[in-house]
Amino acid sequence: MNSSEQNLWIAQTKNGNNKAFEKLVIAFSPLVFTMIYRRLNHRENAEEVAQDVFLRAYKYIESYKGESKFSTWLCTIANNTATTFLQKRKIDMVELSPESYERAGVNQHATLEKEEQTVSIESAIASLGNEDAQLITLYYQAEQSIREIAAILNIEENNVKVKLYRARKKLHEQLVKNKTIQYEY
Amino acid sequence: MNIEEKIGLYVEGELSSEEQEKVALLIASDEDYKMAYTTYLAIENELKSSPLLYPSSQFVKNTMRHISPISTPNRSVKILAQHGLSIAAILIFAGLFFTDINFSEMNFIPQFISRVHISAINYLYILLASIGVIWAVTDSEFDFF
Repeated sequence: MNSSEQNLWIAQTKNGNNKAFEKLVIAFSPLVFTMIYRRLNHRENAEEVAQDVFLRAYKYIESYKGESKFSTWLCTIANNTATTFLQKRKIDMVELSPESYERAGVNQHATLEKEEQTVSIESAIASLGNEDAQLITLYYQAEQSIREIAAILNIEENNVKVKLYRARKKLHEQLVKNKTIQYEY
Repeated sequence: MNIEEKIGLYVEGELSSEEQEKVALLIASDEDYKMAYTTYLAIENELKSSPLLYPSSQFVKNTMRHISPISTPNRSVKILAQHGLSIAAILIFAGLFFTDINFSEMNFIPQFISRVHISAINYLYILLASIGVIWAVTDSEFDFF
């Protein structure tokens, strides 16, 4: 999906074209789902909240003026919706075991080898804890800048830098320790 | 600060320029630094290319099912109004045309066109009909524009 295609779908959605919005849902559902899943650690709840995110996005799409990336706008809604969900349900957040990440819908099209590596990375991310895992997702997988992450999480840029530095350090240590990646020198 | 931390800061460009140069030299000359640097980059690449998680296969369908009730009533009313106004426009113009023709004199120019005075209600009909036609034609769902 290129940005002009994305902008077209957004414009069409604003004009009430549901098919265009469906394309946006298809394109962005993995990102939104992953971000919320990292926060809630519960697949069904994550799907429910992700649905709510898209409902809100549809309802308020007129307010998206293109001043930020659409993914940043969506991630902001996702973060706020997940926060509201946690406040309402007061869920006891259970840290995920690596096994539960294996069950958590890693892309079925990935090759077995790649999938194994993905599961290992997921396990390492899971070991970080919810807040750090969400930061890592936003930084690496959602490709959001420090400034964008600060806007999404509503915290200071410096705070993002510090937290991200610590999370990456932990993640690197974990991955090296687990020897999940084979290095060639 | 251990080697890994130093390498992390070096890659991110967070060290002073003096320190940056020093670490660059160490990477070139020291095996431990070289290994830490290569490892760091490999992990970064793996993380950047690690795929996102996917919701269930029914996710998009279920989401769109929830969205339809939000959009359908308003949309139906809008489409009904557009079509209603368009049909009304055609009927009004047809009505005005045929009722005003004087068949006995074989004058097919509708009298309402030549009248100086058009009643207020006709103005209103014409205005409503025009709005209906413009609305229908310019609406993006019809893809005329």
